[in-house]
Amino acid sequence: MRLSLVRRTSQGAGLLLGLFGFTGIGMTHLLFPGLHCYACPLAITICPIGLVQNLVIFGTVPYFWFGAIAAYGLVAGRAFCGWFCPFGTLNDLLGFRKRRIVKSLSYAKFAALGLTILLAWLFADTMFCKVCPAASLEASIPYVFLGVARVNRPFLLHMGTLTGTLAGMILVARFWCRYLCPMGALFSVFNRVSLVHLSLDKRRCTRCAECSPACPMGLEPHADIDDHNCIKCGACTQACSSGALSLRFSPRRTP
Amino acid sequence: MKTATFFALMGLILLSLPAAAQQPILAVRTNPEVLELAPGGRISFQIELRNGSTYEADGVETSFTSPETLSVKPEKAVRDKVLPFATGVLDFSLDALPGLSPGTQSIPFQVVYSYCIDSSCFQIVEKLSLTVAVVENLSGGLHVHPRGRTPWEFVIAGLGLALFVACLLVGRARRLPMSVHGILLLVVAGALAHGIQAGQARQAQGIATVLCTSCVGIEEARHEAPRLSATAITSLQGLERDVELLVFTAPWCHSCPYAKALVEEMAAATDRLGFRFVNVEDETALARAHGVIASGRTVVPAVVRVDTGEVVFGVENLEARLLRMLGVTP
Repeated sequence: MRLSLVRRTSQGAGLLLGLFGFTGIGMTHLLFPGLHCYACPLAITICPIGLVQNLVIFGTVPYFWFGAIAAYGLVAGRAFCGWFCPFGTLNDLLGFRKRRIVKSLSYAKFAALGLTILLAWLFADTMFCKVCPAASLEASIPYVFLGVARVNRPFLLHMGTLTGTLAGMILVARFWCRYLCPMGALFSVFNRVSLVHLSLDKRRCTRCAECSPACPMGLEPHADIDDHNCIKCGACTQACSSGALSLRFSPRRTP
Repeated sequence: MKTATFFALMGLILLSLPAAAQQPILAVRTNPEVLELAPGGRISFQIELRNGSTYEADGVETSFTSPETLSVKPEKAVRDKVLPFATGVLDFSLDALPGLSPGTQSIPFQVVYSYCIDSSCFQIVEKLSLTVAVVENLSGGLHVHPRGRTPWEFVIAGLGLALFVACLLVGRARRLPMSVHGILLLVVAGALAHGIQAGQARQAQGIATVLCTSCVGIEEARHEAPRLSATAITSLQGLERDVELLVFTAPWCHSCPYAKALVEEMAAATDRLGFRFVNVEDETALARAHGVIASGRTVVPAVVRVDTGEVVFGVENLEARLLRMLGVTP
Protein backbone atom coordinates (compact mmCIF):
# COMPACT_ATOMS: atom_id res chain seq x y z
CA MET A 1 0.00 0.00 0.00
CA ARG A 2 2.77 2.36 0.98
CA LEU A 3 4.87 1.58 -2.11
CA SER A 4 1.96 2.22 -4.46
CA LEU A 5 1.32 5.55 -2.76
CA VAL A 6 4.98 6.53 -3.24
CA ARG A 7 4.76 5.46 -6.87
CA ARG A 8 1.60 7.50 -7.51
CA THR A 9 3.32 10.51 -5.95
CA SER A 10 6.34 9.97 -8.20
CA GLN A 11 4.07 9.65 -11.23
CA GLY A 12 2.41 12.90 -10.17
CA ALA A 13 5.85 14.53 -10.03
CA GLY A 14 6.54 13.27 -13.57
CA LEU A 15 3.29 14.81 -14.75
CA LEU A 16 4.11 18.06 -12.95
CA LEU A 17 7.55 18.25 -14.58
CA GLY A 18 5.90 17.57 -17.93
CA LEU A 19 3.53 20.50 -17.47
CA PHE A 20 5.82 22.85 -15.55
CA GLY A 21 5.69 25.40 -18.35
CA PHE A 22 2.61 26.91 -16.66
CA THR A 23 5.06 28.72 -14.37
CA GLY A 24 6.44 30.61 -17.37
CA ILE A 25 9.75 28.76 -17.42
CA GLY A 26 10.88 28.28 -20.99
CA MET A 27 12.49 25.23 -22.54
CA THR A 28 15.47 23.90 -20.59
CA HIS A 29 18.43 21.74 -21.68
CA LEU A 30 17.03 18.69 -19.86
CA LEU A 31 16.01 15.52 -21.64
CA PHE A 32 12.77 14.09 -20.27
CA PRO A 33 13.20 10.51 -19.01
CA GLY A 34 10.06 9.30 -20.72
CA LEU A 35 7.77 9.91 -23.67
CA HIS A 36 6.65 13.53 -23.42
CA CYS A 37 6.28 15.75 -26.48
CA TYR A 38 8.46 18.87 -26.39
CA ALA A 39 5.94 20.58 -28.64
CA CYS A 40 3.46 20.53 -25.74
CA PRO A 41 2.77 24.20 -24.90
CA LEU A 42 3.63 23.51 -21.26
CA ALA A 43 6.74 21.36 -21.78
CA ILE A 44 10.03 22.54 -20.34
CA THR A 45 12.02 19.41 -21.19
CA ILE A 46 13.14 17.77 -24.42
CA CYS A 47 11.65 14.56 -25.83
CA PRO A 48 14.60 12.19 -26.45
CA ILE A 49 12.88 10.55 -29.41
CA GLY A 50 12.05 13.86 -31.08
CA LEU A 51 15.59 15.08 -30.46
CA VAL A 52 17.37 12.01 -31.80
CA GLN A 53 15.38 12.23 -35.03
CA ASN A 54 16.50 15.84 -35.49
CA LEU A 55 20.10 14.91 -34.73
CA VAL A 56 19.93 12.16 -37.35
CA ILE A 57 18.60 14.70 -39.85
CA PHE A 58 21.38 17.16 -38.98
CA GLY A 59 24.02 14.41 -39.10
CA THR A 60 25.19 15.15 -35.56
CA VAL A 61 26.97 12.44 -33.56
CA PRO A 62 24.63 12.56 -30.53
CA TYR A 63 27.07 12.62 -27.58
CA PHE A 64 24.86 14.70 -25.30
CA TRP A 65 21.76 12.66 -26.11
CA PHE A 66 23.54 9.35 -25.60
CA GLY A 67 25.16 10.51 -22.33
CA ALA A 68 21.84 11.69 -20.91
CA ILE A 69 19.92 8.55 -21.93
CA ALA A 70 22.67 6.24 -20.65
CA ALA A 71 22.88 8.15 -17.36
CA TYR A 72 19.12 7.78 -16.86
CA GLY A 73 19.27 4.14 -17.94
CA LEU A 74 22.13 3.18 -15.66
CA VAL A 75 20.39 4.69 -12.66
CA ALA A 76 16.91 3.30 -13.13
CA GLY A 77 16.45 1.48 -16.45
CA ARG A 78 12.77 1.12 -17.20
CA ALA A 79 11.81 2.25 -13.70
CA PHE A 80 11.18 5.62 -15.36
CA CYS A 81 8.35 3.96 -17.32
CA GLY A 82 6.73 2.70 -14.15
CA TRP A 83 7.42 5.61 -11.86
CA PHE A 84 7.73 8.79 -13.90
CA CYS A 85 6.59 8.80 -17.54
CA PRO A 86 3.22 10.63 -17.92
CA PHE A 87 2.28 8.46 -20.88
CA GLY A 88 3.08 5.39 -18.76
CA THR A 89 0.81 6.83 -16.08
CA LEU A 90 -1.98 7.10 -18.64
CA ASN A 91 -1.34 3.45 -19.53
CA ASP A 92 -1.71 2.62 -15.83
CA LEU A 93 -4.95 4.53 -15.48
CA LEU A 94 -6.54 2.77 -18.43
CA GLY A 95 -5.01 -0.70 -18.03
CA PHE A 96 -7.10 -3.28 -16.28
CA ARG A 97 -6.38 -6.49 -18.18
CA LYS A 98 -2.94 -7.59 -17.13
CA ARG A 99 -2.73 -10.75 -19.15
CA ARG A 100 0.15 -11.55 -21.42
CA ILE A 101 -0.58 -11.65 -25.14
CA VAL A 102 2.51 -12.73 -27.02
CA LYS A 103 5.85 -12.00 -25.42
CA SER A 104 7.75 -11.98 -28.68
CA LEU A 105 5.62 -9.00 -29.75
CA SER A 106 7.39 -6.97 -27.08
CA TYR A 107 10.43 -6.86 -29.37
CA ALA A 108 8.34 -4.75 -31.76
CA LYS A 109 9.34 -1.69 -29.75
CA PHE A 110 12.95 -2.19 -30.84
CA ALA A 111 11.71 -2.28 -34.43
CA ALA A 112 9.75 0.93 -33.71
CA LEU A 113 12.92 2.57 -32.41
CA GLY A 114 14.97 1.40 -35.40
CA LEU A 115 12.27 2.48 -37.83
CA THR A 116 11.99 5.88 -36.17
CA ILE A 117 15.69 6.55 -36.76
CA LEU A 118 15.75 5.00 -40.23
CA LEU A 119 12.77 7.03 -41.45
CA ALA A 120 14.24 10.25 -40.04
CA TRP A 121 17.42 9.55 -42.00
CA LEU A 122 15.62 8.53 -45.20
CA PHE A 123 13.10 11.39 -45.34
CA ALA A 124 15.03 14.06 -43.40
CA ASP A 125 11.88 14.52 -41.35
CA THR A 126 10.57 13.64 -37.89
CA MET A 127 8.24 10.92 -39.15
CA PHE A 128 7.59 9.29 -35.77
CA CYS A 129 6.34 12.59 -34.30
CA LYS A 130 3.61 12.67 -36.92
CA VAL A 131 2.04 9.51 -35.48
CA CYS A 132 3.26 9.64 -31.87
CA PRO A 133 0.24 9.31 -29.55
CA ALA A 134 1.97 11.46 -26.93
CA ALA A 135 2.26 14.25 -29.52
CA SER A 136 -1.42 13.73 -30.41
CA LEU A 137 -2.42 14.25 -26.80
CA GLU A 138 0.06 16.92 -25.78
CA ALA A 139 0.54 18.96 -28.97
CA SER A 140 -2.07 18.23 -31.64
CA ILE A 141 -5.15 18.70 -29.46
CA PRO A 142 -3.86 21.70 -27.43
CA TYR A 143 -2.77 23.57 -30.56
CA VAL A 144 -6.20 23.19 -32.11
CA PHE A 145 -7.66 24.83 -29.01
CA LEU A 146 -4.95 27.51 -29.08
CA GLY A 147 -5.87 28.35 -32.67
CA VAL A 148 -2.44 27.47 -34.05
CA ALA A 149 -3.59 24.22 -35.67
CA ARG A 150 -6.72 23.23 -37.52
CA VAL A 151 -8.62 20.00 -37.93
CA ASN A 152 -6.89 18.62 -40.99
CA ARG A 153 -5.42 15.38 -42.33
CA PRO A 154 -2.36 15.27 -40.03
CA PHE A 155 -4.64 16.01 -37.07
CA LEU A 156 -6.96 13.16 -38.05
CA LEU A 157 -3.96 10.85 -38.43
CA HIS A 158 -2.90 11.83 -34.91
CA MET A 159 -6.40 11.16 -33.61
CA GLY A 160 -6.38 7.78 -35.35
CA THR A 161 -3.14 6.64 -33.74
CA LEU A 162 -4.24 8.07 -30.38
CA THR A 163 -7.57 6.23 -30.53
CA GLY A 164 -5.83 3.00 -31.52
CA THR A 165 -3.32 3.35 -28.70
CA LEU A 166 -5.99 4.18 -26.11
CA ALA A 167 -8.03 1.17 -27.25
CA GLY A 168 -4.91 -0.98 -26.95
CA MET A 169 -4.29 0.35 -23.44
CA ILE A 170 -7.82 -0.57 -22.37
CA LEU A 171 -7.58 -4.07 -23.86
CA VAL A 172 -4.05 -4.84 -22.67
CA ALA A 173 -2.46 -3.19 -19.64
CA ARG A 174 0.56 -1.07 -20.57
CA PHE A 175 -0.07 -1.87 -24.24
CA TRP A 176 2.05 1.02 -25.51
CA CYS A 177 4.88 0.39 -23.02
CA ARG A 178 4.96 -3.34 -23.77
CA TYR A 179 4.92 -3.33 -27.53
CA LEU A 180 5.54 0.00 -29.19
CA CYS A 181 7.28 2.61 -27.06
CA PRO A 182 10.70 3.53 -28.52
CA MET A 183 11.64 5.20 -25.21
CA GLY A 184 10.88 1.92 -23.44
CA ALA A 185 13.13 0.16 -25.94
CA LEU A 186 15.98 2.53 -25.10
CA PHE A 187 15.64 2.12 -21.35
CA SER A 188 15.09 -1.64 -21.53
CA VAL A 189 18.68 -2.05 -22.80
CA PHE A 190 19.84 -0.88 -19.36
CA ASN A 191 17.36 -2.93 -17.34
CA ARG A 192 19.81 -5.65 -16.33
CA VAL A 193 22.52 -3.29 -15.12
CA SER A 194 20.58 -0.39 -13.63
CA LEU A 195 21.01 0.54 -9.98
CA VAL A 196 17.27 0.29 -9.36
CA HIS A 197 16.37 -3.37 -9.75
CA LEU A 198 14.05 -6.10 -8.63
CA SER A 199 15.56 -8.67 -6.28
CA LEU A 200 14.38 -12.25 -5.69
CA ASP A 201 15.31 -14.23 -2.58
CA LYS A 202 15.24 -17.75 -3.95
CA ARG A 203 15.24 -19.32 -0.47
CA ARG A 204 11.95 -17.64 0.34
CA CYS A 205 10.32 -18.00 -3.08
CA THR A 206 7.72 -20.76 -3.09
CA ARG A 207 7.16 -20.42 -6.87
CA CYS A 208 3.46 -19.94 -6.19
CA ALA A 209 3.35 -17.43 -9.11
CA GLU A 210 1.19 -14.97 -7.15
CA CYS A 211 3.37 -12.25 -8.60
CA SER A 212 2.49 -12.96 -12.24
CA PRO A 213 -1.15 -11.80 -12.28
CA ALA A 214 -0.12 -8.61 -10.47
CA CYS A 215 2.43 -7.61 -13.12
CA PRO A 216 1.03 -4.91 -15.44
CA MET A 217 3.56 -5.93 -18.08
CA GLY A 218 2.35 -9.54 -18.09
CA LEU A 219 5.69 -10.89 -16.83
CA GLU A 220 6.59 -13.74 -14.49
CA PRO A 221 8.95 -12.07 -12.01
CA HIS A 222 9.68 -15.31 -10.11
CA ALA A 223 11.01 -16.84 -13.35
CA ASP A 224 13.01 -13.86 -14.65
CA ILE A 225 13.43 -10.88 -12.37
CA ASP A 226 15.54 -8.98 -14.90
CA ASP A 227 13.26 -9.14 -17.91
CA HIS A 228 13.89 -6.24 -20.31
CA ASN A 229 10.19 -5.39 -20.11
CA CYS A 230 10.12 -4.99 -16.32
CA ILE A 231 9.13 -1.41 -15.41
CA LYS A 232 10.06 -1.97 -11.74
CA CYS A 233 6.70 -0.71 -10.55
CA GLY A 234 6.87 -3.01 -7.52
CA ALA A 235 3.35 -4.45 -7.96
CA CYS A 236 4.82 -7.96 -7.71
CA THR A 237 6.61 -7.19 -4.43
CA GLN A 238 3.28 -6.27 -2.90
CA ALA A 239 1.57 -9.37 -4.27
CA CYS A 240 4.29 -11.73 -3.00
CA SER A 241 3.04 -13.16 0.30
CA SER A 242 6.37 -14.81 1.14
CA GLY A 243 8.29 -11.53 0.83
CA ALA A 244 10.78 -13.02 -1.65
CA LEU A 245 10.58 -10.08 -4.05
CA SER A 246 11.84 -6.60 -3.28
CA LEU A 247 12.91 -3.43 -5.04
CA ARG A 248 16.54 -2.46 -4.44
CA PHE A 249 18.85 0.43 -5.23
CA SER A 250 22.35 -1.00 -5.42
CA PRO A 251 25.05 -1.84 -7.99
CA ARG A 252 25.25 -5.41 -6.63
CA ARG A 253 22.67 -7.95 -7.67
CA THR A 254 21.77 -11.29 -6.21
CA PRO A 255 22.88 -14.13 -8.50
CA MET B 1 29.12 30.40 -30.23
CA LYS B 2 29.77 28.44 -33.41
CA THR B 3 26.04 27.85 -33.83
CA ALA B 4 25.34 31.52 -33.19
CA THR B 5 27.97 32.48 -35.78
CA PHE B 6 26.44 30.11 -38.28
CA PHE B 7 22.91 31.41 -37.80
CA ALA B 8 24.09 35.02 -37.75
CA LEU B 9 25.86 34.42 -41.07
CA MET B 10 22.78 32.76 -42.49
CA GLY B 11 20.53 35.59 -41.23
CA LEU B 12 22.84 38.18 -42.80
CA ILE B 13 22.80 36.37 -46.12
CA LEU B 14 19.00 36.27 -46.05
CA LEU B 15 18.59 39.86 -44.97
CA SER B 16 21.05 41.21 -47.49
CA LEU B 17 19.02 39.90 -50.38
CA PRO B 18 15.44 40.91 -49.58
CA ALA B 19 14.65 42.08 -53.08
CA ALA B 20 16.01 39.09 -54.91
CA ALA B 21 13.45 36.72 -56.29
CA GLN B 22 15.56 33.67 -55.57
CA GLN B 23 17.07 33.13 -52.17
CA PRO B 24 20.28 31.25 -51.46
CA ILE B 25 19.65 27.95 -49.73
CA LEU B 26 23.25 27.20 -48.75
CA ALA B 27 25.00 28.85 -45.84
CA VAL B 28 28.64 29.03 -46.84
CA ARG B 29 31.54 29.40 -44.44
CA THR B 30 35.22 28.64 -44.39
CA ASN B 31 36.86 26.59 -41.72
CA PRO B 32 38.98 28.02 -40.20
CA GLU B 33 37.64 31.50 -40.78
CA VAL B 34 41.14 33.00 -40.96
CA LEU B 35 43.97 30.96 -42.44
CA GLU B 36 47.39 31.48 -40.93
CA LEU B 37 50.18 30.69 -43.34
CA ALA B 38 53.96 31.03 -43.25
CA PRO B 39 55.91 31.99 -46.40
CA GLY B 40 56.69 28.76 -48.28
CA GLY B 41 54.12 26.86 -46.17
CA ARG B 42 50.94 24.96 -46.90
CA ILE B 43 47.62 24.70 -45.05
CA SER B 44 44.44 22.69 -45.49
CA PHE B 45 41.04 24.27 -45.08
CA GLN B 46 37.40 23.47 -45.69
CA ILE B 47 34.40 25.20 -47.15
CA GLU B 48 31.21 24.12 -45.42
CA LEU B 49 27.94 24.34 -47.29
CA ARG B 50 24.94 23.93 -45.00
CA ASN B 51 21.63 23.41 -46.70
CA GLY B 52 18.87 24.67 -44.44
CA SER B 53 16.09 24.11 -46.95
CA THR B 54 13.99 21.27 -48.25
CA TYR B 55 15.48 21.61 -51.74
CA GLU B 56 18.53 19.92 -53.17
CA ALA B 57 21.42 22.17 -54.17
CA ASP B 58 22.75 20.83 -57.45
CA GLY B 59 25.75 21.54 -59.65
CA VAL B 60 27.79 23.05 -56.81
CA GLU B 61 31.00 24.63 -58.13
CA THR B 62 33.61 26.64 -56.32
CA SER B 63 36.16 28.88 -57.99
CA PHE B 64 38.92 31.04 -56.50
CA THR B 65 40.58 34.16 -57.85
CA SER B 66 44.00 33.58 -56.31
CA PRO B 67 46.77 36.20 -56.33
CA GLU B 68 50.08 35.22 -57.94
CA THR B 69 51.68 34.35 -54.61
CA LEU B 70 48.98 31.94 -53.40
CA SER B 71 47.61 28.77 -54.92
CA VAL B 72 44.36 27.03 -53.95
CA LYS B 73 43.80 23.42 -55.00
CA PRO B 74 40.99 20.97 -54.22
CA GLU B 75 42.19 18.06 -52.06
CA LYS B 76 39.37 15.64 -52.82
CA ALA B 77 36.90 15.12 -55.59
CA VAL B 78 34.44 18.00 -55.49
CA ARG B 79 30.93 17.07 -54.39
CA ASP B 80 28.34 18.66 -56.63
CA LYS B 81 25.18 18.09 -54.59
CA VAL B 82 24.05 19.07 -51.11
CA LEU B 83 20.92 17.27 -50.02
CA PRO B 84 18.15 18.99 -47.99
CA PHE B 85 19.21 19.68 -44.39
CA ALA B 86 22.67 18.25 -45.07
CA THR B 87 26.08 19.82 -44.83
CA GLY B 88 28.57 19.43 -47.64
CA VAL B 89 32.26 19.87 -46.89
CA LEU B 90 34.79 20.72 -49.59
CA ASP B 91 38.49 20.21 -48.80
CA PHE B 92 41.16 22.48 -50.23
CA SER B 93 44.82 23.19 -49.72
CA LEU B 94 46.47 26.58 -49.86
CA ASP B 95 50.13 26.88 -50.90
CA ALA B 96 52.34 29.90 -50.37
CA LEU B 97 54.26 30.58 -53.58
CA PRO B 98 57.62 32.42 -53.84
CA GLY B 99 57.33 36.15 -53.33
CA LEU B 100 54.68 36.00 -50.61
CA SER B 101 55.23 38.70 -48.02
CA PRO B 102 53.79 38.93 -44.46
CA GLY B 103 50.43 40.66 -44.02
CA THR B 104 46.75 39.94 -44.53
CA GLN B 105 45.47 38.94 -47.92
CA SER B 106 42.03 38.27 -49.24
CA ILE B 107 41.21 35.62 -51.82
CA PRO B 108 37.84 36.19 -53.51
CA PHE B 109 35.89 33.07 -54.32
CA GLN B 110 32.43 32.19 -55.49
CA VAL B 111 30.10 29.27 -54.95
CA VAL B 112 27.68 28.59 -57.79
CA TYR B 113 24.80 26.16 -57.50
CA SER B 114 21.21 25.74 -58.56
CA TYR B 115 18.03 24.44 -57.01
CA CYS B 116 14.54 23.77 -58.29
CA ILE B 117 11.09 24.26 -56.83
CA ASP B 118 8.91 22.09 -59.01
CA SER B 119 9.59 23.27 -62.57
CA SER B 120 11.13 26.63 -61.52
CA CYS B 121 14.91 26.45 -61.21
CA PHE B 122 17.19 29.14 -59.81
CA GLN B 123 20.92 29.59 -60.09
CA ILE B 124 22.63 31.16 -57.11
CA VAL B 125 26.03 32.81 -57.19
CA GLU B 126 27.51 33.45 -53.75
CA LYS B 127 30.55 35.74 -53.73
CA LEU B 128 32.73 35.54 -50.67
CA SER B 129 36.35 35.93 -49.70
CA LEU B 130 38.93 33.93 -47.83
CA THR B 131 41.14 35.79 -45.36
CA VAL B 132 44.76 34.69 -45.21
CA ALA B 133 47.12 35.98 -42.53
CA VAL B 134 50.71 35.54 -43.67
CA VAL B 135 53.05 35.45 -40.66
CA GLU B 136 56.79 34.81 -40.42
CA ASN B 137 56.66 32.43 -37.45
CA LEU B 138 53.65 30.38 -36.58
CA SER B 139 53.50 29.83 -32.82
CA GLY B 140 52.16 26.43 -31.83
CA GLY B 141 51.82 25.21 -35.38
CA LEU B 142 49.00 25.80 -37.80
CA HIS B 143 45.76 26.88 -36.22
CA VAL B 144 43.38 24.59 -37.97
CA HIS B 145 40.32 23.63 -35.97
CA PRO B 146 38.03 21.53 -38.12
CA ARG B 147 34.45 22.08 -37.05
CA GLY B 148 32.76 19.54 -39.24
CA ARG B 149 32.41 15.88 -38.58
CA THR B 150 35.65 14.02 -39.11
CA PRO B 151 36.31 10.30 -39.53
CA TRP B 152 38.18 10.07 -36.22
CA GLU B 153 35.11 11.40 -34.45
CA PHE B 154 33.04 8.55 -35.84
CA VAL B 155 35.79 6.04 -34.97
CA ILE B 156 36.02 7.23 -31.36
CA ALA B 157 32.23 7.41 -30.99
CA GLY B 158 31.92 3.92 -32.48
CA LEU B 159 34.60 2.51 -30.17
CA GLY B 160 32.96 4.14 -27.17
CA LEU B 161 29.60 2.70 -28.13
CA ALA B 162 31.11 -0.76 -28.71
CA LEU B 163 32.76 -0.62 -25.28
CA PHE B 164 29.49 0.45 -23.76
CA VAL B 165 27.52 -2.38 -25.37
CA ALA B 166 30.23 -4.87 -24.30
CA CYS B 167 29.87 -3.67 -20.72
CA LEU B 168 26.09 -4.03 -20.92
CA LEU B 169 26.48 -7.58 -22.22
CA VAL B 170 28.81 -8.41 -19.33
CA GLY B 171 26.19 -6.92 -17.05
CA ARG B 172 23.61 -9.33 -18.39
CA ALA B 173 25.41 -12.04 -16.47
CA ARG B 174 24.02 -10.28 -13.36
CA ARG B 175 27.31 -10.34 -11.52
CA LEU B 176 28.36 -6.89 -12.55
CA PRO B 177 31.89 -6.12 -11.32
CA MET B 178 32.39 -2.65 -9.93
CA SER B 179 35.09 -2.05 -12.54
CA VAL B 180 32.50 -2.49 -15.29
CA HIS B 181 30.27 0.04 -13.54
CA GLY B 182 33.23 2.38 -13.46
CA ILE B 183 33.86 2.01 -17.21
CA LEU B 184 30.19 2.55 -17.99
CA LEU B 185 30.09 5.70 -15.87
CA LEU B 186 33.28 7.00 -17.50
CA VAL B 187 31.88 6.51 -21.01
CA VAL B 188 28.61 8.20 -20.03
CA ALA B 189 30.36 11.11 -18.30
CA GLY B 190 32.74 11.51 -21.26
CA ALA B 191 29.88 11.56 -23.77
CA LEU B 192 27.92 14.09 -21.71
CA ALA B 193 30.93 16.34 -21.17
CA HIS B 194 31.96 16.25 -24.83
CA GLY B 195 28.36 16.84 -25.96
CA ILE B 196 27.94 19.85 -23.68
CA GLN B 197 31.36 21.22 -24.68
CA ALA B 198 30.42 20.86 -28.36
CA GLY B 199 27.25 22.90 -27.77
CA GLN B 200 24.86 19.98 -28.20
CA ALA B 201 22.88 20.87 -25.08
CA ARG B 202 22.19 24.31 -26.53
CA GLN B 203 21.41 22.73 -29.90
CA ALA B 204 18.89 20.40 -28.21
CA GLN B 205 17.27 23.30 -26.40
CA GLY B 206 17.04 25.25 -29.66
CA ILE B 207 15.37 22.33 -31.44
CA ALA B 208 12.83 21.89 -28.66
CA THR B 209 12.10 25.61 -28.35
CA VAL B 210 11.00 26.09 -31.95
CA LEU B 211 7.85 24.33 -33.05
CA CYS B 212 7.76 23.75 -36.78
CA THR B 213 4.11 23.14 -37.62
CA SER B 214 4.78 20.32 -40.07
CA CYS B 215 7.35 18.56 -37.88
CA VAL B 216 4.95 17.24 -35.23
CA GLY B 217 2.13 16.73 -37.68
CA ILE B 218 0.09 19.85 -36.93
CA GLU B 219 -0.19 20.32 -40.68
CA GLU B 220 1.32 18.89 -43.84
CA ALA B 221 4.61 20.28 -45.10
CA ARG B 222 4.35 22.08 -48.45
CA HIS B 223 7.26 21.77 -50.81
CA GLU B 224 5.76 23.07 -54.03
CA ALA B 225 6.36 26.54 -55.46
CA PRO B 226 3.44 28.83 -54.62
CA ARG B 227 1.46 30.23 -57.53
CA LEU B 228 -0.80 33.17 -56.89
CA SER B 229 -4.18 33.05 -58.58
CA ALA B 230 -5.21 35.88 -60.91
CA THR B 231 -7.93 36.87 -58.42
CA ALA B 232 -5.39 37.07 -55.62
CA ILE B 233 -3.11 39.30 -57.72
CA THR B 234 -6.05 41.60 -58.54
CA SER B 235 -7.02 41.72 -54.86
CA LEU B 236 -3.47 42.56 -53.82
CA GLN B 237 -3.31 45.38 -56.33
CA GLY B 238 -6.30 46.84 -54.52
CA LEU B 239 -4.29 47.19 -51.30
CA GLU B 240 -4.92 50.79 -50.21
CA ARG B 241 -2.09 51.44 -47.77
CA ASP B 242 1.49 50.32 -47.20
CA VAL B 243 1.73 47.14 -45.15
CA GLU B 244 4.85 45.55 -43.71
CA LEU B 245 4.98 41.80 -43.03
CA LEU B 246 7.49 39.90 -40.92
CA VAL B 247 7.98 36.28 -41.92
CA PHE B 248 9.35 34.26 -39.01
CA THR B 249 11.17 31.10 -40.02
CA ALA B 250 13.78 28.59 -38.83
CA PRO B 251 16.51 27.24 -41.12
CA TRP B 252 15.44 23.62 -40.67
CA CYS B 253 11.66 24.16 -40.86
CA HIS B 254 10.16 22.18 -43.75
CA SER B 255 7.29 24.53 -44.60
CA CYS B 256 9.18 27.80 -44.15
CA PRO B 257 10.53 28.00 -47.75
CA TYR B 258 6.94 27.82 -49.02
CA ALA B 259 5.78 30.61 -46.68
CA LYS B 260 8.73 32.78 -47.71
CA ALA B 261 8.18 32.16 -51.42
CA LEU B 262 4.45 32.94 -51.13
CA VAL B 263 5.07 36.25 -49.36
CA GLU B 264 7.64 37.13 -52.04
CA GLU B 265 5.08 36.35 -54.75
CA MET B 266 2.51 38.55 -53.02
CA ALA B 267 4.98 41.40 -52.60
CA ALA B 268 5.85 41.14 -56.30
CA ALA B 269 2.18 41.73 -57.13
CA THR B 270 1.95 45.10 -55.36
CA ASP B 271 4.28 47.93 -54.40
CA ARG B 272 2.39 48.49 -51.17
CA LEU B 273 3.50 45.25 -49.55
CA GLY B 274 6.90 45.09 -47.85
CA PHE B 275 8.35 42.14 -45.99
CA ARG B 276 11.33 40.94 -44.03
CA PHE B 277 12.43 37.41 -43.25
CA VAL B 278 13.33 36.77 -39.63
CA ASN B 279 15.28 33.78 -38.41
CA VAL B 280 13.73 33.08 -35.00
CA GLU B 281 16.92 31.49 -33.77
CA ASP B 282 18.71 34.81 -34.28
CA GLU B 283 15.96 37.23 -33.29
CA THR B 284 14.18 35.62 -30.39
CA ALA B 285 13.29 38.96 -28.79
CA LEU B 286 11.57 40.17 -31.97
CA ALA B 287 9.63 36.92 -32.18
CA ARG B 288 8.53 37.30 -28.56
CA ALA B 289 7.55 40.92 -29.12
CA HIS B 290 5.27 39.94 -32.00
CA GLY B 291 3.57 37.05 -30.19
CA VAL B 292 5.26 34.35 -32.24
CA ILE B 293 6.37 32.80 -28.97
CA ALA B 294 3.71 31.36 -26.71
CA SER B 295 4.44 29.43 -23.48
CA GLY B 296 8.13 29.43 -24.32
CA ARG B 297 7.47 27.81 -27.72
CA THR B 298 8.24 29.61 -30.96
CA VAL B 299 5.90 28.53 -33.75
CA VAL B 300 7.17 28.69 -37.35
CA PRO B 301 6.40 29.56 -40.04
CA ALA B 302 4.54 32.63 -38.81
CA VAL B 303 3.63 35.78 -40.72
CA VAL B 304 3.01 38.95 -38.71
CA ARG B 305 1.34 42.10 -39.98
CA VAL B 306 3.38 44.78 -38.23
CA ASP B 307 0.79 47.59 -37.99
CA THR B 308 -2.03 45.46 -36.54
CA GLY B 309 0.02 42.75 -34.81
CA GLU B 310 -2.04 39.98 -36.41
CA VAL B 311 -0.26 36.63 -36.65
CA VAL B 312 -0.86 33.76 -39.06
CA PHE B 313 0.77 30.43 -38.22
CA GLY B 314 1.59 27.56 -40.57
CA VAL B 315 1.09 27.18 -44.31
CA GLU B 316 -2.27 25.50 -44.60
CA ASN B 317 -4.51 27.60 -46.83
CA LEU B 318 -1.94 30.36 -46.32
CA GLU B 319 -2.76 32.43 -49.39
CA ALA B 320 -6.39 32.92 -48.35
CA ARG B 321 -5.46 33.61 -44.73
CA LEU B 322 -2.86 36.20 -45.74
CA LEU B 323 -5.30 37.94 -48.07
CA ARG B 324 -7.81 38.02 -45.22
CA MET B 325 -5.16 39.43 -42.89
CA LEU B 326 -4.36 42.13 -45.46
CA GLY B 327 -8.05 42.94 -45.75
CA VAL B 328 -8.19 42.26 -49.49
CA THR B 329 -10.22 39.05 -49.56
CA PRO B 330 -11.47 38.49 -53.13
